[in-house]
Amino acid sequence: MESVGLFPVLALSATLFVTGMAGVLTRKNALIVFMSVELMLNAVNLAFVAFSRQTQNLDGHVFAVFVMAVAAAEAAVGLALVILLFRNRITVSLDDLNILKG
Amino acid sequence: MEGSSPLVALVPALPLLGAMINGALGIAKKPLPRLMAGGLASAVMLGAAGVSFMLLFGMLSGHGEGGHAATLTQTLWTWMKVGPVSLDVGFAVDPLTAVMMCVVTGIGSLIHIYSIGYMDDEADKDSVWRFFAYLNLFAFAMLCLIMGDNFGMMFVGWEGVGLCSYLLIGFWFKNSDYASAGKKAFVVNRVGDFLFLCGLFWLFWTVSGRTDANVMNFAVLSEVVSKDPMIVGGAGGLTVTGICLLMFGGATGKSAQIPLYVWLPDAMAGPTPVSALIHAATMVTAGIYMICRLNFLFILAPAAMAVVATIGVLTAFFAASIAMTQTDIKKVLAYSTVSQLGFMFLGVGVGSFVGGFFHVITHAFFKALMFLGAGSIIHALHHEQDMRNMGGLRKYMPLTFATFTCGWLAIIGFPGTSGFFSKDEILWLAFTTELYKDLPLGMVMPKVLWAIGFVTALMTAFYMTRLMCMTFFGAYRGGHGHDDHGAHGDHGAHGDHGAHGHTPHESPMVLVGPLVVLALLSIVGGAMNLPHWIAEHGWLHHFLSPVFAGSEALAVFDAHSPLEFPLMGLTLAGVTASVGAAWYLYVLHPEKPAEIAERIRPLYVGSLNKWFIDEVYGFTILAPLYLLSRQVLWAVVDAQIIDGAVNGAAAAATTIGRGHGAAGGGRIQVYAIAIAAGAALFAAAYALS
Repeated sequence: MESVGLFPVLALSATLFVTGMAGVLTRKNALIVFMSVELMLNAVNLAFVAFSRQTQNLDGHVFAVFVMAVAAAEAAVGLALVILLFRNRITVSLDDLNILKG
Repeated sequence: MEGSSPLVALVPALPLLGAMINGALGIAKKPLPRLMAGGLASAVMLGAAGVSFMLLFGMLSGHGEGGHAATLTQTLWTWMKVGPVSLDVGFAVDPLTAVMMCVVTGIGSLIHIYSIGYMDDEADKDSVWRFFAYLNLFAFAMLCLIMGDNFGMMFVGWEGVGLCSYLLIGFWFKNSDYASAGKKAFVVNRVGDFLFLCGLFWLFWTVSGRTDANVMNFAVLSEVVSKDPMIVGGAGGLTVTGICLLMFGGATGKSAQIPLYVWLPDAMAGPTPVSALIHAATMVTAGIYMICRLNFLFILAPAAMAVVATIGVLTAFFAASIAMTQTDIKKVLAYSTVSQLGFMFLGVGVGSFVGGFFHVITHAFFKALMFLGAGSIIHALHHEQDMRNMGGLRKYMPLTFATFTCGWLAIIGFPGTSGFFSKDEILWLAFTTELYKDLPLGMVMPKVLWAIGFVTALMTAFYMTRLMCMTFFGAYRGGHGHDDHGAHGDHGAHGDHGAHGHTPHESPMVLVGPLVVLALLSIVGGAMNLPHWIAEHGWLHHFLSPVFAGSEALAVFDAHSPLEFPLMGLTLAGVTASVGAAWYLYVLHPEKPAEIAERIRPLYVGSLNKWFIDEVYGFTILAPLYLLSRQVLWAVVDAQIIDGAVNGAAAAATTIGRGHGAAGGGRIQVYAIAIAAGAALFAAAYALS
């Protein structure tokens, strides 16, 4: 099997991360922001796995599995929060969720 | 030479107990009834007096080295200990202390008893317990001052008597004039106390580096300094002179000498027994007592002694010149007190500590007597103090008149009375002292001191006779026109004496009794220190010799001068002439004084207005001080710098908070950008490094 090398994988990872970050920073819908966070997590996972393969070290794999476990738990809690938010405020727009100001 | 006695601490403890009981019950709103409050206060003082006299007689019968009395000490506990220096709550009773203790507790007891009668017309029931609690507290502080065996205890007492003096001068504090008189006394005394403290620090600084002894203890310091004067920089040195001058500065405050005497005349605002006890007999003599206690130090500084004597005699003269024209009976006595205190400083200043101290005692007798006599008059006349509204009182108040006459005889120095012996001794020793012979003008100075003292003695005879004449002789001028009584009598109703009974009457026995005792003492008190031409050694001189032995060896008097009797005769003749002149002016020709006053108008107006010293102080010291306080300290330092700093700090916190608040707008994505930017920054920094 031919290897694609480190750089293209990292480039994809970076692209996904920046896409996710752009989504987090710019979208108003809490659900979309939430999905974008997942995207960023998975971009990082990709980078972990790529480095792990490159260095012949299993630590990266271990980390990726941990991140997936945390992401799953986070997704469960996060989605519950978003649903509760919607029940209380009839909106999930971040523009309207700003009562916690200094 | 030393013995310990458990009785010693009882002397100050008893008045303290009295003050605490009266004070605590009063504060708890359950004050003792009038008679019991006064009775308790008097009883504890009598107890203290009893113990004092017991100690004194014990010292007289017990013999230490060379037939001299031993020192009794008692140390209760250690107050603080720093290296070799240990300040103890300890008392030492040497002959000087023993005599002073007996004077304070003895006269104190009489005045406490007198006060029971004097304060019985106080309308305000809260006043009585307060008065006696303060009076007892004063006695406690005064006893600490004289009995303390170290500078710490003395200073506690020194400040304590100042506090009680303040409280008692402003006793009728609802009258704002009286309250501010108390404040004035307190503030002026603080100036002196500051100088005293500076002297004390300097002394400590100098001595403590050169010895391991506990130099704050008087007995130890005395021994150390006597053994090696170099420890304070040597006799006549700048250091010891400076220390003594600063300490004398403290004495000028407490004992009302130029330039700090101004508080004492105002202190007459307090009840008359207070004037008698604190501002005539005891507290104001604390300065002289302090110098006597530190005689071993002062004797090493002839220049400082010269200043003491000069200030003393000038004060004596100056105060006498004011007393000549005052019309308030207590003011005359107040200036007379300042003047007599000047004599005492003259005495110690020329090197005769015994002489100065002897005058402290005799003055305590006759001036307490005269103040109490004046109090008896004031009481009988319903708080009238103006001598122009008195006159002819000898018919109405024969006992007060008789006892006051004894005081008068003593103060003018009638031969055989106590004042004669003490004043004459001071004048004679001032004339013959050889303490200043190494100073510039040292040979002339004693003669000048004597001359001023001599003139002052004549003035004293004149103004005291004037007081006698205006008060007791002629026709009674009061009893009409009570309108102007508000000035003096506005501190309470006058009780049930028949406030408008216009005929004065003799005071009750509780007032007159103490007068009789003091009158006897004023007449025969001189017996305790007879001059050498009657007895070989005066008793007081012999008894105090353990205290003053060292300094007496250094102070030399020209004892063989043939002039003693001629000078005494001159003084007597002058005094007689003064008395005659006063009698002529104020009894035989009562219209003359006004004519004379008109002829020497500038002098008269000056004296009447106390030479405008209060105004001068007001203009040169108070006004700039007020200006500085208001225009600089208040308007700039306080309002702008201090308030500015405080308000500025608050404003800065607000501004910073607002800035942060704006950043925290509640928009989660703004926070996220901040996190991202931060992360990017770290990444960039990492990449670049």
